[in-house]
Amino acid sequence: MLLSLSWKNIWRKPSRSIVLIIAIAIGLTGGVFTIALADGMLEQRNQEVIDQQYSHIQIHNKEFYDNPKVKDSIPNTHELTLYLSEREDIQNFTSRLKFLGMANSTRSTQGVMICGIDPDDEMLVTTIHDCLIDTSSSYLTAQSTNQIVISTKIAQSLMLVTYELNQDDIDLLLLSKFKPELLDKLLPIIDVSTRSKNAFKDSLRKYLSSDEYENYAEVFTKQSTEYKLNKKIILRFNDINGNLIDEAFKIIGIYETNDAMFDNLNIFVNKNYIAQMLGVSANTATEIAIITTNVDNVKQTTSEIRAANENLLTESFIDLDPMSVWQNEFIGVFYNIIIAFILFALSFGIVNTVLMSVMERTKELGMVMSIGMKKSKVFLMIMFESIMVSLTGGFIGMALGAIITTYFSKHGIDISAYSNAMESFGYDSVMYPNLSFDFFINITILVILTGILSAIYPARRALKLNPSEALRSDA
Amino acid sequence: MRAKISILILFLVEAITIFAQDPNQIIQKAYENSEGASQYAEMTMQIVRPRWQREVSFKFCSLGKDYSMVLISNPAKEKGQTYLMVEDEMWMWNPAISRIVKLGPSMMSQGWMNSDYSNDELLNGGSIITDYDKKILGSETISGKDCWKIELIPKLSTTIIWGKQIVWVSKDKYLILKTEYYDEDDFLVKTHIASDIKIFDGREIPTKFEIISEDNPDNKTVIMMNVIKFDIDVDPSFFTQQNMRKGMSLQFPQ
Repeated sequence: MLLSLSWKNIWRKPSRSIVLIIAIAIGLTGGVFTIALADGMLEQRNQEVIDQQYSHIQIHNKEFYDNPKVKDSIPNTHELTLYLSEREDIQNFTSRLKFLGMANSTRSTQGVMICGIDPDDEMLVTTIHDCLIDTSSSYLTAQSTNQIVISTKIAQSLMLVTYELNQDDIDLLLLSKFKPELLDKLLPIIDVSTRSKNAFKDSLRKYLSSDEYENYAEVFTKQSTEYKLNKKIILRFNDINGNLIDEAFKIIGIYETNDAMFDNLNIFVNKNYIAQMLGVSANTATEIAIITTNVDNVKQTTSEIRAANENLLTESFIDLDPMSVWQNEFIGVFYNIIIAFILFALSFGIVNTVLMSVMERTKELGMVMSIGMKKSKVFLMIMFESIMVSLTGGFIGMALGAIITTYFSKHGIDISAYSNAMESFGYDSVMYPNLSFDFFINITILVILTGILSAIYPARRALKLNPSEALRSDA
Repeated sequence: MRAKISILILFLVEAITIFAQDPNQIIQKAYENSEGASQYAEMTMQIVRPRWQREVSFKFCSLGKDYSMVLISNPAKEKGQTYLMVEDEMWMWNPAISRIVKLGPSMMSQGWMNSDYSNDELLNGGSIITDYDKKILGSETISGKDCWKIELIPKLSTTIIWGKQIVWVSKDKYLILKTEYYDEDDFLVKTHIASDIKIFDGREIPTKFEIISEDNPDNKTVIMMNVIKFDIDVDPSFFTQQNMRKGMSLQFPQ
């Protein structure tokens, strides 16, 4: 009875209520979508670092992080692998021989983390094999000997890259809406191959105006970059007895993840082969990476493995990835704060509108009060009006936000224009927004709260009315 | 009898020069020419960079290709530092900290005393004879000397990073006068040039060595040989860590 009365009151001045509802709807659509975007990015990044780097759980020797070397391998790998394969909450796991070494090319040298992997097991645990950049790139196989997979970043710092614009590149640039006049200027350097990025940029500078150079040099350089496969690099590392080992490897694949830090360090070789070089048995491992059957139980599984193997360091991705702590513990609060701010701003509009409708209805309120309506019912009626206006706007806003989010979560938002900066933090350049259902419940509660708080002042004003005076007013 | 023998020797020498058309033998002879069984040298190294340049003087003693010892005699800051190379390993003694440091994998690839010579190159110079397939490309004149131009392609099993090397060996005395290093895409990476041929200890050898990097033409390293003695009397017991610690008071066998 009271509810339907409030609902009817809202629509006595439809235009005013609609304006307010639209304002709330727009505010919340924006809020929901922004948060969905942020959450989607984080979720995407988290999934990626799990898939590419951390897996769900990792086991190391306790000394491993001080200075990753083969001496600090995991003792009793045999029993440990038996134990792990018997656990039902573990889907897959793989053991690695990870240690520091140096990579040398003809021009440069770089410190690298040499990851000796078991290619078949590794594919079940990480997705590096999906991150190969070129169709001619291939991944390691169990039979691989002196083959190696490196990242684009390492290829660049070892200067195993050539810069050359050929006709195909020009055609691609034409397709991505570059003006033919601009590309014509590049004719003199087509098919000219250089080894250094600076030399290539110098030649660009020669043929482009300074404005064009500022705007397009990066794009052209990126387009001209060619990673060469089948080149030789020399890995240098200490074997189990501390002797220096030099070993030549042929690059068979080049990968790129969105995490520049990871790419700058890690190279992959076949574990069996590198174990021979190191003079250790094939089942020696310095790292074991595990994928569990259910991510939500990771903490439980981790502590069980930890308890069963006290001499080892067992860590979940939450321990390994500093960012995930931030997301899991803090980001939810952060989202609610954003929504609360939006609603706080909107509440001024709500107060204003409800107050206006109360003032306009002075005579009417005086009338209902003098025929015996309790003050508490008047208070409630006004409060319901405020809550219902807010909720209507809120639901429309959430629905719109959800529709937009769903659309973009399917199609993605490409921000590749800024992706260089994003990728160095480990984010993909195509964002897929994402929101959990829980969050909508949170928003609904916040909207109701806003409605209640905004109604207090106008409702108190209504209560203060003296029925006999109100009846006589002109309004 | 004696005349007969000398004729025979003359014949043999002749035969060697004719058969030396085989690139393997040319390289072998050139290598033997540049390195005696043992040697002592005093050298000055000039490191040129776009913003600075400096000179380092050192004494050097080696036995075969497995043992060498270096003592820095100038500048004052590095005076008394010694380097010992035995087989594949290298140690450094620094008098300022009174400590011997073994050079690890990362330091091996760095330039020796910040020069363009990596520690690696100093250690693994001797593989030129066995590790390459060789081919004579023709004859060319380098600083007035008629030279063989020989292409060296590393064998597959080796850990040589270069795609190929081209060396110029003088036809008269088998001196390596120029070496070009190429990567696997046939881009020139750096060039070694040997010049200033002088007679030292009865041998005619180049005394100035330059290394020029193709990517940074402003960077170069020049080594000048002031004294060199071949086939000195030294045995492996000289190349020890005790001797390294002597620093400036280390007496080189001459």
